[in-house]
Amino acid sequence: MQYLFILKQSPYQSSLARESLDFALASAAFNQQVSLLFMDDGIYQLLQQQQSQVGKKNIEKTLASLEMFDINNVYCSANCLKQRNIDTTSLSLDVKVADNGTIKTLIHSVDKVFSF
Amino acid sequence: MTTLTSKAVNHSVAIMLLHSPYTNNINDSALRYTKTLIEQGHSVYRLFFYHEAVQLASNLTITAQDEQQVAKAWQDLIQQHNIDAVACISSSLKRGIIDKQEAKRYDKASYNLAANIQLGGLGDWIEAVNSADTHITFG
Repeated sequence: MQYLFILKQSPYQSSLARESLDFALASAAFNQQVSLLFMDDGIYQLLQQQQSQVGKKNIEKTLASLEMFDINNVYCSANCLKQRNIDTTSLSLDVKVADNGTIKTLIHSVDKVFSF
Repeated sequence: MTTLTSKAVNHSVAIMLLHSPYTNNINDSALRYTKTLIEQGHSVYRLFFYHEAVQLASNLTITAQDEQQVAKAWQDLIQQHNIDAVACISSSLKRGIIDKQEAKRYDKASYNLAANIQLGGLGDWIEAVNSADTHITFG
């Protein structure tokens, strides 16, 4: 099945960011077709050179392994990037920047949507 | 995307809970939803506790008489309707919700997983999502 994960958690505020990413990776491991859409504070998960001082597992490193899980459709919201004044050059991944129309189409194109 | 129509015959729903009772009141909505779902003749395909919601799977909670017994309300519902209830093992273990087997494996003094709830994995949730008519996540 085609799964879309809408990821809105900032990386180190709570463990929900990691647990939702674990779910996305597990889905790929269980042979689902996985797409990711980073929105709201989830954008911060995509930043380069994260040095988590709080003893938490580095999310940037986890995201680097997405290809290994065959997760190649990674989107982020154009509006959310702009709101946070973040440029794609600050991101650690090659993401597809999506406007609201693209996001709407994406949501309708998959079988199952999970939003965290 | 699949949606339930109001004229549907028995639909099965996979339900995921994310939050613990005292950090978020969304479980109140989830409980009302689940009870209504069953009353309307639909079924819970599986109830999956993830992230902080695994706290609901403890059999050690003690609540004052005049306070809402959230974990008990869920456990009673599971018991009453024979709901297939699974707590994610990785979320559970790190939060101190363990069963007899894990207590033995990790040499812990005791265990506290409620009866009628099993420890399981995300594979159980994925199977539920793919098999049920629809899914819903609270939180």
